[in-house]
Amino acid sequence: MDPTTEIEELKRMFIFSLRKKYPRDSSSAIATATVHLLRKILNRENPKTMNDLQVSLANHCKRLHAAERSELIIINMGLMISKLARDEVLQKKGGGEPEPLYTLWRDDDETTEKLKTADMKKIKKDLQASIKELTSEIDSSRDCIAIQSTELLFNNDVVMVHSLASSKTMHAFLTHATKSGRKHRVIDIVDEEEQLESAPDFVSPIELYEVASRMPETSKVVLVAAAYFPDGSCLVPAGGHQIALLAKRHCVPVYVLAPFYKLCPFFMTDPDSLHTFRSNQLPFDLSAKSVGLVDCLHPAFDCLQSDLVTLFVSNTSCIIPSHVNRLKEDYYHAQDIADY
Amino acid sequence: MTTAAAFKKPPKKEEPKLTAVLILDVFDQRFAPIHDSFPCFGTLPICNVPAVNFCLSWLMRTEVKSVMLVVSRLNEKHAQSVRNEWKLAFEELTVVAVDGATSVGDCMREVHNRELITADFMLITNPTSVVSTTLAPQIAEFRKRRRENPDNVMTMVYSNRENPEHFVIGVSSETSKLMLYPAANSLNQLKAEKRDFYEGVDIRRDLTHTGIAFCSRLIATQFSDNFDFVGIDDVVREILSKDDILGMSVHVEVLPTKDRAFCAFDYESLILLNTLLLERWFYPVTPENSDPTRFFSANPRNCYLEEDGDEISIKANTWILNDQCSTVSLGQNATVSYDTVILNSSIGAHTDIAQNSRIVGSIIGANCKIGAGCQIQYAFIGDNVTIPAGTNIQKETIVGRGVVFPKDLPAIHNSAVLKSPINEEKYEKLTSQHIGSVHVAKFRHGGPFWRRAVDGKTFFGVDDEGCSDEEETSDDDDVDDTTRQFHDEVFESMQKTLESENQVMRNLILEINSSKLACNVTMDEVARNVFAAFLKLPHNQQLAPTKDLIKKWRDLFINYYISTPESLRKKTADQQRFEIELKKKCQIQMLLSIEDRTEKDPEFLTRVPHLVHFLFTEELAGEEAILEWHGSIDEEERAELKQKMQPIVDWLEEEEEDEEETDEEEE
Repeated sequence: MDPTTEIEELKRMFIFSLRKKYPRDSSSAIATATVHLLRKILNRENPKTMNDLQVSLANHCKRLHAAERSELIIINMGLMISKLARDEVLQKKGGGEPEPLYTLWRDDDETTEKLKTADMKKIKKDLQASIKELTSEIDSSRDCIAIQSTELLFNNDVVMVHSLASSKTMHAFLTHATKSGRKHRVIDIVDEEEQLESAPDFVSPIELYEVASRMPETSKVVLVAAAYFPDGSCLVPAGGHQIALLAKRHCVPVYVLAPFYKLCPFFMTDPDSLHTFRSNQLPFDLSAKSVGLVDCLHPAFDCLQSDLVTLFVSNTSCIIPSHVNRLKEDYYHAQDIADY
Repeated sequence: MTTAAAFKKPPKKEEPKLTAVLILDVFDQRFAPIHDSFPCFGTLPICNVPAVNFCLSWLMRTEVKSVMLVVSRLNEKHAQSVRNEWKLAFEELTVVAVDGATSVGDCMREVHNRELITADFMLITNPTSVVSTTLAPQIAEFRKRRRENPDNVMTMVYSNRENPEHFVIGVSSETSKLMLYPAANSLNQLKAEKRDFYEGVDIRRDLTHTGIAFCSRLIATQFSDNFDFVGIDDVVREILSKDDILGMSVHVEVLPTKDRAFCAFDYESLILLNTLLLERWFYPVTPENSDPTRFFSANPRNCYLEEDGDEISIKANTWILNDQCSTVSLGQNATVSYDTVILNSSIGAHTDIAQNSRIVGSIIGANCKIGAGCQIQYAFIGDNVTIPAGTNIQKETIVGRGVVFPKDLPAIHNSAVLKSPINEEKYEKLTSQHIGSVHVAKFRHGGPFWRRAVDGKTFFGVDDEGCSDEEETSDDDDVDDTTRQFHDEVFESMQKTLESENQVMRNLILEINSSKLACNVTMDEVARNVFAAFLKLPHNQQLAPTKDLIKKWRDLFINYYISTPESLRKKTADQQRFEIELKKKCQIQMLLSIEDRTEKDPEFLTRVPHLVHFLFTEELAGEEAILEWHGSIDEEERAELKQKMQPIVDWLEEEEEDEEETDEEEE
C-alpha cells in the first residue's frame, strides 16, 4: 500500500476510535494514542529535514483537530514531538542552548541553518527513543499527580471536588490521599442524579445547586482541567466556574489537576472557539412541542480566569498560574508555536 | 435440585453479535421530484451531511461489527463511496446491490436468496434512522425474549415522543408484546375490541417509529415466502393476523425519555429531523462529528459551518451571523447577507443568499442563488436552483434541481416544481403539467408530497370514481372504509380474472389474500365480502351463468368456505374442531352477503332459493349454516325472503328427520 493512503487510513481509524467511545476515553489514553499515531506517521513519511517534519506534523494535527474540535491534546502532542526532534538535531549538531529569557524570540540564523541542513535519518533512532520517553511520561503522570495529594490535603480538610466520576486522575488523587492515612472529608459535586448512588464510599455526593450552602465548611476545592493555557487560565468541566467563584468569595483555595499533556501553548481563552457543546438536555417527548422554538445551550466547559486558580497540580510540581508560561518552555518550542 | 439449578447462572455462551442490514434507498414516489439531485436517499444531505453518516455513526458505537448496505443496482456507486469512507469503522462493511428493487421487500428477498443472513440481525429499513444510545439494553432484552421463546421473532424500537402523524399501536402492558397494528391505509386508526381492553392492551399514540427492528432469520424468510410484501409493516400485519397459525409474536421496545431516536419518511419529517439534529438532541450523534471526511464547526445558537480542512486555524472564529439566525447549518463557502433571517434550516455549499430574505424550516441544496427579499418557509429546494428577488414560495413546496423559479407562478397546493416533466411510466402515481418555463408535478390522487397521508379517506376512492354506482354512495355508515375498500379491491381482482383467458384461481386467491392483509380485515369480513363482490359481478346477473361460474371457480370457494379433508388431516383434533367451526361461520357470512344483496336488488330475491339450493348441492353451504342463517332472518323486515326460503328449510329439516329415522331404523 502506498504510504499516503496508509497514513490517511491510520488517521481515519484514529478518528473513528475517538468517536466510537462515548463517554470519552480518559485524556491520558487519548494522548498516548495520539503519540502512537504520530510516531507511525513519521515512520511512514520519513521526513528529510527538520522543516519537513515540522510542516507535516502541523498539517496532520490541524486536520485531526478539525475533525475533533474538543481534543486540544492532539495539537499539543504534535508540537511536543516537533520540539523533541528539534532538541535531538541541536544535540547532534551542537547548537547553543537557547537562553530561557530569550525564548520568545525566534532562533538565530545559525541555528536555523543547522536545522535546515540536518539529516533527519541520523537522529531517527534518538527521536524514536525520546518519543517513547514521552509516552512513558504520559503514563506516569497520573501517579505523579496522585503522589502530590499528600502535600496538598491534610487531616480534617473538607475537600470539594467536581467530575469525580469522569476523571480517573481525580480518583487516583483522592484515593492516594486516603491510603496514606489522611483523614479528610470529600464532597463530590455530581452532574446527574444517577451518579448520586454510584459515587465511591469515601465521598458524600451533592448536586451543583447545593454548592453555595456547603462552601463555608469547605477548606479546599479540587477541579480537573480539560486544558490550560500559558496565561494561567484553564478550561474545566461545565459548572466549575460557579464553584471557583464561590470558592473565591469564601477564600477557599482552588487546586486544578493539570497533567502536562493538557497544557495548550496558545492563548485561547474563549471557550466558544473550542466548539464544544453537549446534548440538548430536555426530555425527548418535549421535542414534539418545542422543536425549533427553544434554544437549549449546554456547553461542555467553563473558562476559569487565572485569578480564580490557586495552584495547578502538574505531574512535576505544583505551580502558580503565572508560572504556566514558563512551564510551556519545557515542552514546546517557540518556533513551532509561531509557525502553527 | 431444580431450584438449585434455577439459581445457577446459565452457562455463559458468547452470543453472536448482531449483523446490521441497512437499506439505503426509500421506495416512495414522493421523493421522485428530488431524485435528480439526490438519487440515493441515504446520501441525501441533512445538515449538509449525507443522512446515512448519522446512521453509521451511532451504529459503530453499538455492538454491531458487520454491516450490510443494501441498495438498488442503480445506486450502487453511492453505496460504494459510503463503504470506502466507513469501512474502517466496522469489521465488515459490504454492499449488496439488488437488481430492479422497488421495495424493502425486494431487498430483503435478495438478501435472503443469497443466504447472507445466518443469524439474528438488526434491520434498519430507513437510512435516516438516528439514535442517541448504543441500544445495548434493548438488544439484551431481545436476546432474553429469544431465549425464552424462539417464536418471539421480532422486537421493534420506538422512541418516546409524540409523532406528527398520530400513528397508533396497541401494546400489551405486561409483556410489551405488540397486539394491535393499524392497517396500511389508516395509520392513525386502530380496530380495538372490548376484549383487548380487558387484556391490558395499551393504546399508544405517544410513540415514534425509528425504522429499527431486531429480527430473527424467520423475518427474512417471511419476505421471500410472500412475494407481495413491500415493507416490514406487511410482515408485522401478517404475524398479527395469523397469530393462531404462525404462533409468532412481535414485541415493542420503547426507549426511555432520555434516549432519543427518530427517522424521516417524508419531507415534513426530513425538515423535523434536520432541526432535531441541529438542536443536538441526538448527542453524541451531532452534525460536526458524523462525517468522516468533512469538517464542521459548531457555534453557539446551534449554528454549524462547514470548513475547508486545509484552512482551519484554532483561533479563527470569523463567521458571524446576525442575532436573528439560529439553528442553521451552512455548507462550504455559502454566503449569507447580513440582514437575512434564517431559522431551522440547512443551506448547501456555495449557495448565495441576498439581503433581506427570510428562510424558515427549509433545506436548500448546493449552488443555489436566492435573490433579495425572498420568503421561503417549509420548502425543500434542490441543487442549482435560482430564485429571483422578491419571490414568495408557497409553504410546503418542493423545487427540483436546476429550476429557475418563475416569479409569477400561480400558487398550486401539494405540488413540486421541476425543470423537466416527470417520467410517468417510471412513476405511475405522478403526473406533471407544463406551466410557463417549468413543470409542476402532482400525485394523481391529489394528495400532498409534503407529508404522508395517514387516513384512508384521502387516499382512496379517487381511482374508481368512474365506476362507482349508486350502491357505493348509498352504503351504510356502519360499513367502514377498510371493509369497503377490501370489497372494491376483491371486486376488481375478480373482474380482471373473469376477463383473463385462463382464469387461474390460485392467483385470484393470492390477490384476495394480499388485499386482506393490506386492509387488515377479519376472516368474517373476508368471507362476506368475497361472496358479495362475486354476486356484484356483471356476469352474475342471471342464475344460469352464476351457477356455471360457481362451478368453474370452485377452487376459490373451497378455499374460503369449506374445510377439505386434506387440510384437516394435518391438524390436531382441537384445531380440526376450530377449523370446522370457522368455516361454518364463513358459510353463514356468505349467506348473509346474499341477504344484503336482496336489499339492494329486489329482483335478485327471486333467485335466492335457487342459488341457496345450488350452493347446498355443491356442498359449499352446509345444512347447519343454512338453518342457522334462516333462523336469524328478521321476520318483519325481510318477511318475503324468509317466506321464500321456507320451502328449502322445510325440505332440509325433513331430510334431516329422514336421516335420523333411517339412522334409527338401521340401529
